[in-house]
Amino acid sequence: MNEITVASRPETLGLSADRLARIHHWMARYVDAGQLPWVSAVVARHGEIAWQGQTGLADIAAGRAIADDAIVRIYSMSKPITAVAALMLYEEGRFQLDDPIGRYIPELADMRVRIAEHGDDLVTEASDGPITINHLFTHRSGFIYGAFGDDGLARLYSARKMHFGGSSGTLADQTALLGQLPLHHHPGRHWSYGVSTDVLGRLVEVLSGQSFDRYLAERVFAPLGMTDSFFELPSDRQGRFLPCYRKTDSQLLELWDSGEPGTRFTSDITCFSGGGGLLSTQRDYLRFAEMLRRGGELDGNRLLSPRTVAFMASNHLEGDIAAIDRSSFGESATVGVGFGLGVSVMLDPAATQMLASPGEFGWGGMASTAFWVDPALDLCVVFMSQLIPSSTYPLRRELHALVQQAILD
Amino acid sequence: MSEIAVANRPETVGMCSQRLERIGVWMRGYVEAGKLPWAMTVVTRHGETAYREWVGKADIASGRAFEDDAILRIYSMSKPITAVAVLMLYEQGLLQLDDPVSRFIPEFATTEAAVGEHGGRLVSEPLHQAMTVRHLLTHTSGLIYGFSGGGALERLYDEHATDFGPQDGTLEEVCKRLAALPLDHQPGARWTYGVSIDVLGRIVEVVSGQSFDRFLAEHIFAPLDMKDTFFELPADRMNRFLPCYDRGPGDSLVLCEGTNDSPYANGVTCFSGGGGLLSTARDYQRFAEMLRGGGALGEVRILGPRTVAYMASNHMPGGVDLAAMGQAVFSETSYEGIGFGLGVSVVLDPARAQVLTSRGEYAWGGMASTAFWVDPEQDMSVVFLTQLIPSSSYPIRRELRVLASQAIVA
Repeated sequence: MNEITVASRPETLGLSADRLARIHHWMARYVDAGQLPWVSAVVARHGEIAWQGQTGLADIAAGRAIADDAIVRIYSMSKPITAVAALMLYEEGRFQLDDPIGRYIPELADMRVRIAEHGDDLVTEASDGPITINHLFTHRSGFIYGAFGDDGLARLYSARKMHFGGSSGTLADQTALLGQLPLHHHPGRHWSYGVSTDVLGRLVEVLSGQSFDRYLAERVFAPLGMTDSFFELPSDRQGRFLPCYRKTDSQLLELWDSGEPGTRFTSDITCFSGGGGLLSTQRDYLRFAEMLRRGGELDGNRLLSPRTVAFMASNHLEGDIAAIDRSSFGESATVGVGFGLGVSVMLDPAATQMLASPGEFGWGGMASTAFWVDPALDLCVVFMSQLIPSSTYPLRRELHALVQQAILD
Repeated sequence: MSEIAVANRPETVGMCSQRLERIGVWMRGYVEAGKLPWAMTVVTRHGETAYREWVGKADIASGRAFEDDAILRIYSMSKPITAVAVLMLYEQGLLQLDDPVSRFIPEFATTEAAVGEHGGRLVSEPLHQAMTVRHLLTHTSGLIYGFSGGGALERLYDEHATDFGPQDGTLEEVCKRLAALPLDHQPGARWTYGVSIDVLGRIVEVVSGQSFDRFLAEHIFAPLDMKDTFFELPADRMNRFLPCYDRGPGDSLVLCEGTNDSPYANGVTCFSGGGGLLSTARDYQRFAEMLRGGGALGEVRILGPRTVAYMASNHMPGGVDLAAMGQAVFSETSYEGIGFGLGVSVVLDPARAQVLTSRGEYAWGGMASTAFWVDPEQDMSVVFLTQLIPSSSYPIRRELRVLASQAIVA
């Protein structure tokens, strides 16, 4: 396995060292203001690292400085990994995008749809069509997240603990439970962020005959040399795992999950949430992003064909997300942004009001992590921190501008 | 003329051997499950054969293994060949797309369009605009198939034998009978699969002064060295002809047409450009490669590159997809994100079509589950053959598009 190399000078990759240094100043401002515990970012172009850096404290109470091998919660940045895992089976002809998911997971065959609420009583009707695998990839299934809404359906999700939490039984158990809850809307009608990607993880189990964690370990993480990506933290890596903070009304950085032994990611993981359950490192995720930038291959190990990656990064909606959005939350702007198979796709940077390239694709996680691949510029960016929620600061928009302004040719 | 070259290794034409072998696994899956009698796939890239494999039994009853020179029913894969024949005349200025069909077949001058039924009889009205050559090439004429449904018009087609079956009389005779029946709708109003391409075969006869089988033999099959493509099986090739199967209960295979007793074995009077040809994997690969090559195979040019590109453009009004042109009850394509050119379907948007392929890919298939497509962007053609009716039995074409696309690595 070859590590991704660092360019001798960013200028050899068409980037300005002086302008890239602005990323460090930007990161330091957030840390110095006590808004983020730490920040780390890496910018790679043409397959080489043009810039990487980090600043801040991994653990504020202990005063421990951030290191570049930190293991962090990537939450929804698990989703593109799950999409790749499913597309590997698509390439083998194991399913088609328009297949009803009920063919593989019978509990999701006959769904009901919430059409009105009277207090906590939900009025439902039969769905007017099946949920297809395409709907799962593109968040058009009607599945939601309970934690981000305050209507009766969201409360029902919360009451049933329908979030594919690490100790909520197995993927099979959670998926069966999901089949008992009504959908937010008829399949295909709207875009609503939710547990669709977790269902894709279950689909991978059904089609591969392997548990989802084994499948990812053998077919994605091992070939890509992603040595620190997993659902459950191995005990020998406890020292590299970091706390996660959240912003509250009274505190900029309140400890949310210490990450100490016995906490949620460190033991007894039984539910392998492809929507949000992975831990990873900046190095590992850069390898994943580079695989996508290179059209599906890294280090001679091919996961997907170039055409499949291009298909994944095509807009599969009829317009932008905003045109059909019914979400209370998401990891992306929705105006001028479309959605592919597990990733957002930039359609119109002017409409989005963000300096980016059409065709750029990526996603983020709720602890303020993000990545994107820019095929037009042959560029990858991975950004890490550990602050919930990701909507606290406009980090992604700002970093987009900072990266783009550093590109000179 | 020379055979199409076989790539030393698929990698020399940008394809991955291991990934191509997934096609073999997939074909064996269908054959071993008893869903298909046999299957054969030919993938050609940059003009060289990258993959050419087959599996299964030619004849289930006798247990005879399939051989790659088998002659089989390509049914509607005759249509792109007929479209090419028409376009060869178009290139010579002998007909225009907006020519009324009645210019060549006067009986169509008085044809009307159905508007409804009254007391069990079809009520029709005069045409608002003439049915043209383009309407025939794009299946927007209003001509239908009699076997495609049980409505009053379909019954009329059955009664008058206007589906252009092998023994239905000459093209001239069938066209006369057909012109006396109403169209399903006003020309241009909708996309409707039917006998439009068969009528084009008659137009080729009228314009060229040759019978349609002679025209194809002289101007397409001989130049392209498609030596096993014809409307009637020559007696000396009976041993290479295969039976055809229907999908039976429980995904079983039921013999629907043998060889000696096939209507294609002798007495063919009607040269159906819409569905009457027999062919082989080798011959159809040569036809597809002629198209991929912009109208030429080796030194032989059939059409100009601009004509092939025009053929493979979306000719639907306003550039819409087939879904916007009204849902047909039966055809050889899906509708979302797919448009239609001159005798071939054209992919407008792979994401809308929900299949991994290229924008601009053009294609057609036959009702015995055969298929072909040309992907100009990837410089690739694919031919898939089997003999199972109907083609809607299994999602073979979607699956094979994924399998071929994912094998392209450079």
